[in-house]
Amino acid sequence: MAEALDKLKQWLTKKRKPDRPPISAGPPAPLLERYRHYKRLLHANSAILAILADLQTKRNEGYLFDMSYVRGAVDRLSREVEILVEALIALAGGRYRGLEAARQRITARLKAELATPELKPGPLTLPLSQAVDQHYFGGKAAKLGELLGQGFPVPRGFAVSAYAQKLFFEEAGLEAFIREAISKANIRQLDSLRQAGEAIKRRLLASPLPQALAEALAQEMDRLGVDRVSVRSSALQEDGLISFAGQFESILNVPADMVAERYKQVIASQFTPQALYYCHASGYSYQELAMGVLVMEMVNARAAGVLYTADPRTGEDVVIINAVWGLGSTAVGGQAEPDVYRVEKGRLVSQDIGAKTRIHRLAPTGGILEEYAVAELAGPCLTPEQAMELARVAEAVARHFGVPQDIEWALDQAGKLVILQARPLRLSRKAKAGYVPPRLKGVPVLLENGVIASRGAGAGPVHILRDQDIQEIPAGSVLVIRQALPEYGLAVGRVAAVICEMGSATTHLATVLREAGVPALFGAKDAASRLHQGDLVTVDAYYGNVYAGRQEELLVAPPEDAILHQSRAWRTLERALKHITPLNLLDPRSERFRPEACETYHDITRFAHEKAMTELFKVSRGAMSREYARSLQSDLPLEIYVIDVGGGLRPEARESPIITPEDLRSRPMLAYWRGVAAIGWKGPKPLDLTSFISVVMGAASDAGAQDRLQEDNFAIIARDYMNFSSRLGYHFTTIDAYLGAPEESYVTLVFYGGGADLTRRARRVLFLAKVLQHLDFRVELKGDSITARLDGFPVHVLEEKLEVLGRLIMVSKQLDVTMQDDAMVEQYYHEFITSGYNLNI
Amino acid sequence: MGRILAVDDELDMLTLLKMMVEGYTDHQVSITNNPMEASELLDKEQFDLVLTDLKMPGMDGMELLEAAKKKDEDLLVMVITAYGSLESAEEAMAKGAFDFITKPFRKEQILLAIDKAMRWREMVRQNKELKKRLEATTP
Repeated sequence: MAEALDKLKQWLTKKRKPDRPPISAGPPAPLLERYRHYKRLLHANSAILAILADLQTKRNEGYLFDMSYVRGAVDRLSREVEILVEALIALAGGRYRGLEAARQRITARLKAELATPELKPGPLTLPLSQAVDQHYFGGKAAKLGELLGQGFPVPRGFAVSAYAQKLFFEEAGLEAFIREAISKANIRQLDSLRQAGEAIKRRLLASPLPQALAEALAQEMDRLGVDRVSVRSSALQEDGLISFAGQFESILNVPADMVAERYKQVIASQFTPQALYYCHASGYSYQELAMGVLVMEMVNARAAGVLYTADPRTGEDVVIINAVWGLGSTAVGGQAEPDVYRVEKGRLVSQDIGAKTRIHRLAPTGGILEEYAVAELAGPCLTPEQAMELARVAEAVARHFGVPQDIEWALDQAGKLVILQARPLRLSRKAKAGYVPPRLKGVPVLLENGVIASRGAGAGPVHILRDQDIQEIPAGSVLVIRQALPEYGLAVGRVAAVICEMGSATTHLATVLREAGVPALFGAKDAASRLHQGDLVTVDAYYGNVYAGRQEELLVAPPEDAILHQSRAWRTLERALKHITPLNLLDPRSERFRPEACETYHDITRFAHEKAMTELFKVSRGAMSREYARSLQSDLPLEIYVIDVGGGLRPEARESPIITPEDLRSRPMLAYWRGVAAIGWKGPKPLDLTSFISVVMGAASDAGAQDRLQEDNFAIIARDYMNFSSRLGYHFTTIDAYLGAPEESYVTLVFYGGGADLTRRARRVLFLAKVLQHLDFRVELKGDSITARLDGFPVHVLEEKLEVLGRLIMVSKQLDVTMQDDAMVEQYYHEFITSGYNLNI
Repeated sequence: MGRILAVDDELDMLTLLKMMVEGYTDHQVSITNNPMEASELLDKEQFDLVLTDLKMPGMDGMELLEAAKKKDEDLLVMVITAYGSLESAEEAMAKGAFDFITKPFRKEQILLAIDKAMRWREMVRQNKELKKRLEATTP
């Protein structure tokens, strides 16, 4: 028996020699590949989170940006997400293909949001009342069509679609001509651009319309049955190039047989030097300029003009009417000083009669006649009743569209009122140059110098999260946490603000908080110890402070910026972000944590990063061949095979089959080794007979134990990485650590097996779990196995913890067989953490 | 109230700048995406401030700055520079730009910068006026 025991002890503790020296100096290619995929994935992960933060900041914090910024940022983001997914699939040996499907789905949605709406074939012309799709007929026609449908007085007419223009350009071969004219023009010379524009116009006017379009125009004119019409542009986009290039041609009093010619003339008016410069410089297609055209019965106006349904300078509720005699063109062009009427609450409150020295009338042969100093020009154009009637109709239009309107109107010879154009009125907000949050003075400052993770201010009672129970967080509280874990995103709906001791603005959690508009300060050192549970505080995530009490001054919501939010770039970004930033995959343990549930780029990123860590962890699990490993020799009777995948060893040691701890350059390995070496090797504690039987029985009942006892200690290392699988005594541990950028760094530990019976192993596991929790690890216990993870800490802290881990693993290597009763769990735990992380056993 | 000429090859940005400045201040903004046209506009009209992007195809903002200063030495020019190109901002300042603003900028930044420029413009004007009066009264 004694002999057998000695043999067993010898076998358990013997120092085995490497079977043969490594035959290859480099690491095995597949392993190196996987590590490279992981690094690529990490790189993409940080790039994605940084772009997300940037996009949110641009949207939320009053930045001016243009479409090229939005397109550029989303393009870069899409590329990084593609790399990320590709890297995960490669790392996982072809699994997670569902993530690629999710990526393609989301990318397609994003593309659709950013695309200039493509002009698909559609009707060439439609009666005005049906031409309500502004993507085909332009805003001007669509709005009038809508008003006509609502029974407002609008002249009869029809709209020509932008698709008709496209067809015209295609059939007449104008596309190639225009492209060439643009590319040949010298953009350094305005004259050259002008000449190119003229050449395009001449060519366009000389080209015949497609037969289908010519017929459609003729049919619409027949249906209309009038002699004279107006032909006006109806742009597809309200801002961008169109609003910039200014007035496109509007041609009044067009005889029926000239409509096709005038249509071409309006279309041709878009080829200004500005537009050509733009197309040349940005490479955009002139197709962005495609416009609808509006043809309406010509109103032989007695009086006409422009009106606003609010005071554009103050936003005051008043209808301001400008009126001139004859056609409204003298009011628009400024050739006549108009009458100005103000109607408030249905009553005419003032009228200033202008010196209307000119009048525009319809010329008998078409076009406009300008007359001077005619006798009838004296006196007001509108009676008080007409002004009030006009105001009443205008207010109804504004109510219909829900915003103040800028309206062109006319009175015909019979005194009947018609609306010629309606568009939103731009109100100015003078003297209110944006919101600058107040800097509070004379208020007790509890914390300062926090990092602004999500801009804003919020107040509530402090809730310091201690037991990770997110469900218990009281509504309206200021949540105080140590690490910025994505899971805390589950609390966003309930908290007034978040303070985190660590973390930065590019964490998943910060992205989620910005998305939800929850103010947050990160990197607020010692927040959990300096703030007290239940105390009322105000979080100032404008300047990075936390104040005592509720500071109302700061809590006033900043005004929405209507002007910024009207811009095409802002609205596009807002739409695009819906497919980018929301995080649905908050909890990795949840049923929904799978590729199919990914709805945004953020979901994909979170999923890929989480799974990448798991996949990398598994690297040691494959059949590790010693072929590529070198032996780490030290004073300790441990056999460790080391594979370096990049920068883990000093260059001089790279060719050597045997290395020493001095050769190590891997940051996590060095930290871990410091702990291992500090404890050293004391040999296994002598076994008493009961313990011995326990070992033998335990090993016999565990079929895999024999095999596992044959495993070697393997360390896969890189400059910033370590995956250390060890057999120490009777248990198996894998420690996976990455020490790179703060957001990516972590330490994971998995611990299982052992030679002793389950009760004793369970005691040791309890001891380990207690220590790991003390070290801030998140610990999951399952039977006698432990999974523990630590992240969200600065790298130097992770290094310190790795060193303690080295000590812990060394002291616990034989603990299971000596843990005879439950009380020893507490005893060992206490001893370990109070004696400078050591045990005297 | 002052007159501003804004020059940028990005049309969305120009439109937004115009809406922004006219919405929040009393200044009037003329815009063009073509620096050649800007140069032409400066011959025809009087502006208080030129706001120009530095990187534009054809003629860059630096050339426009030089051309503008040649036309009117007192004309204030503010250049918009891309993030991380401090050298070009310095070069512009050396060539007589009044100020520069780095992209991307927030609404408050551009409004404050414009306000500062306009107040400076007003001070210079008053200063000249007072000098003139002083010269008129001293024998």
